[in-house]
Amino acid sequence: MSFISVTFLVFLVIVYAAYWKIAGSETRKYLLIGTSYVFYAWWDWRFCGLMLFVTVNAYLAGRTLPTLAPPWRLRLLWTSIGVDLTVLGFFKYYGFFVANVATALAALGLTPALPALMVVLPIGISFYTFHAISYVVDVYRGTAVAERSFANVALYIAFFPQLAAGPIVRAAFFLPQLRRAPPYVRGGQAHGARLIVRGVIYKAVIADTLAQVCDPIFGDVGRYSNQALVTASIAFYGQIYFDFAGYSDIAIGTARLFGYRIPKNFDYPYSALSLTEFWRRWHMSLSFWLRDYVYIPLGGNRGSSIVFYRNLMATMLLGGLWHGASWNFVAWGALHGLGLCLHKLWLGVRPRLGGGINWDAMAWRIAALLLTQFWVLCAWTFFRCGSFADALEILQAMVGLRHVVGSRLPQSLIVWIIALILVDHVLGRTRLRIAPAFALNRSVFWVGIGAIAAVALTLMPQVQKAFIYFQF
Amino acid sequence: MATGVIGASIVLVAAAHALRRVRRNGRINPFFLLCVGFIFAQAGIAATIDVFKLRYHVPPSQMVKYLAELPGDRPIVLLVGSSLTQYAIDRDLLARQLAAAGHPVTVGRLGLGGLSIPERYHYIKQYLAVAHRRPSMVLFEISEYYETDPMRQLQQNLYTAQEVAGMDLDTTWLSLEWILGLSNDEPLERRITLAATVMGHFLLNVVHVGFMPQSISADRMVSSAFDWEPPKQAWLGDAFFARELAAVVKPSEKSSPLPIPSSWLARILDQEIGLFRARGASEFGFYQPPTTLTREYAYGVSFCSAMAGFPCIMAGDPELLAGLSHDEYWYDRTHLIDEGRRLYTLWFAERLLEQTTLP
Repeated sequence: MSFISVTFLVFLVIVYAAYWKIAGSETRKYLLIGTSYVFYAWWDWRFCGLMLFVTVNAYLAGRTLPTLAPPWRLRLLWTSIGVDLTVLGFFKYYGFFVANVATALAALGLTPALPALMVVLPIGISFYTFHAISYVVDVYRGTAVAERSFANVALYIAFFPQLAAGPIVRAAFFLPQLRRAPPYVRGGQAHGARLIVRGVIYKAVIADTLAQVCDPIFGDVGRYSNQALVTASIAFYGQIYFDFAGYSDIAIGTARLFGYRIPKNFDYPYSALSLTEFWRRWHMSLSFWLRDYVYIPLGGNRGSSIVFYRNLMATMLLGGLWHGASWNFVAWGALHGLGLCLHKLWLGVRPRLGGGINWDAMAWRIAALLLTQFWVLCAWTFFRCGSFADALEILQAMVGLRHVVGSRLPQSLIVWIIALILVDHVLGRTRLRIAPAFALNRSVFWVGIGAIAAVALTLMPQVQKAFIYFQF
Repeated sequence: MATGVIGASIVLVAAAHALRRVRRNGRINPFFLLCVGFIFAQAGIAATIDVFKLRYHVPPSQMVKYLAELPGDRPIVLLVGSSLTQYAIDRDLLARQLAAAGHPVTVGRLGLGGLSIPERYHYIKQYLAVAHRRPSMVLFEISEYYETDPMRQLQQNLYTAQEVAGMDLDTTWLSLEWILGLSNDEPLERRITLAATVMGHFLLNVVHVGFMPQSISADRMVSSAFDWEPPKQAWLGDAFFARELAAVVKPSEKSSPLPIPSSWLARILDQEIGLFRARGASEFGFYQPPTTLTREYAYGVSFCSAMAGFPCIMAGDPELLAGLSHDEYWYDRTHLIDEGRRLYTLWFAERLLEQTTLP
């Protein structure tokens, strides 16, 4: 069930009304678990069992870990993680693995009959397995208390607002909320409603309109002019941000309507002055998860420079592969890993370039912004394109090395897209400072939310695309 | 259009960021306030649509524009039908034949592939509201699917602009009457699904969901783009058509358990005829284009018997059917093309001259 659908609207209204109508936090919790499984079953009921299996695995490991001696604790931790990774690996990477092994063997002149299976990718599997791993690791580390209540673990993993595409919520952050009944808070409801409306604008109006611009071009790269390819790349640069940030807003806003807090997933990433900053602002729940559960266990920035860069690259390559079983995602992760390494290198070199340079001057900041965002833009090309050849062709078009006469797009489109991102980021980042001046009367707020929702619905394309991150 | 939506999005995003703090005052229910804002904005959107004469940019709207702007001053003969008529009748050829016989008329067609009866009613109202010249004679196509499966098009094109555009209050009501009524034997589960689907489309129509990117000013709408026909893809062979067409006129052994036309269809037809009559049309009739489906033909015969007060032209002439026994004359089992269309149009013109009082 997509967030942008009449079905979800009806579902949400019913669950919301029932949730606040019934008394008792435990009953409410069971209602949310039941409706979360209904939400998941809407796509394919068969995979509810898989999610339940992952939940039981996490719950049993969590309950058992505190009772074991250290060597057994570690073994159980790895067993539980291994089960989750096996589930994830089979459903998400089996086909990719078999295809690549076959290609490698073919290169050696071998053609063995490998077992080819058509494995359906269950929606949200990357997210709920990460939730399960987060819970078990947090219990192992002692940052989360082992849950006695199976319902709490089940709801933590299956909570429908974040089930399909995150944000990836930490067990230590979410489980304490489940132990106390979240009260009905008017401010929280208002915040939730505002986030949902903003998410609808981001996703349904903006991202889907930008998709109409770039989809035909990415589908037939060779037919278009350099100008069209650059426009499509910038349109996708906007689309993926508004799509995923919009999804995250709706998820966080929906959770808030039920009294639960989910940390923000995006913090205006296209205003980042470095890739390091970008990853503190983009898909924050994943980047922090990778930092805490992959990068730091690998050694982090301890040890030699070589080890440090290796850890950085390995984390980003895994991050790329997490997005999907394709070498394009690996290339995307590698580009970000390389960018991060170069940035760290630059931070080491910069002090030796002379003390007279003011690196905080506006000109340097603008240069850093442009360079960072150009790098991000180039990396998105690999993320979006169907093949390496298409991605390289678009990169050539960006730097003027491609000489093809083809269809063009309206010249002003790039300006409008950049203006939109600019307005969003500038107003979004500065609002905290100007907010008191615009403090709104409660009536104006709610009437305004209703009016904005009405206009947004009118502007959105009728046929909605699925959220990009649903495929991961 | 993308530029316009992105431009408007800048304002929306700015507004969404501006709505930030909420002072804890006031006792009015937030949901009520939200609805007030929503309704006021909807009123503004409706006013904007009215002022700029915006219409859904979909084939039926293009068809209405074409009909409203039919050139010349000859009396209009209007064919109200579906893709069956679109494929089977060459309007220009029909007009030439009738003119040659002393009846100079303009032939128009109101109907598109799969248009359901409720949608048809919707576009008849639209057409009559904007047309400068109204038809003198109206001929309605007969087809069994209008009664047995009128929601097929809706289900094949769920939540598309065309389906949402046609789902106003009247269309919704008429559709629900069919879905929940006794004139069909659909299972309960399907009735519930269909009713929910119709209501979903109605909801999108009422709150103008997706309207702006799909709209165009009525003045700028192109009226020639709605008549598109896909190329023939399946070949069944001459022998198949010869056999089927020879068998199609044989009396059906199984009679329909339901009355033909159903009370649902009869009532809508009454309303449609009433609308046309109120705007000057004086002659009405029915026709069924050639088909290879025995059931379809049998339905047409029963329909004509029930509508004895009106001229009714059934394509049951053995000579005509024998002439149509060529695969290349048919797009599929029910739609004519090319030479088949020409032959039927000539035959249809003769029957019109014989059976109706042409203007």
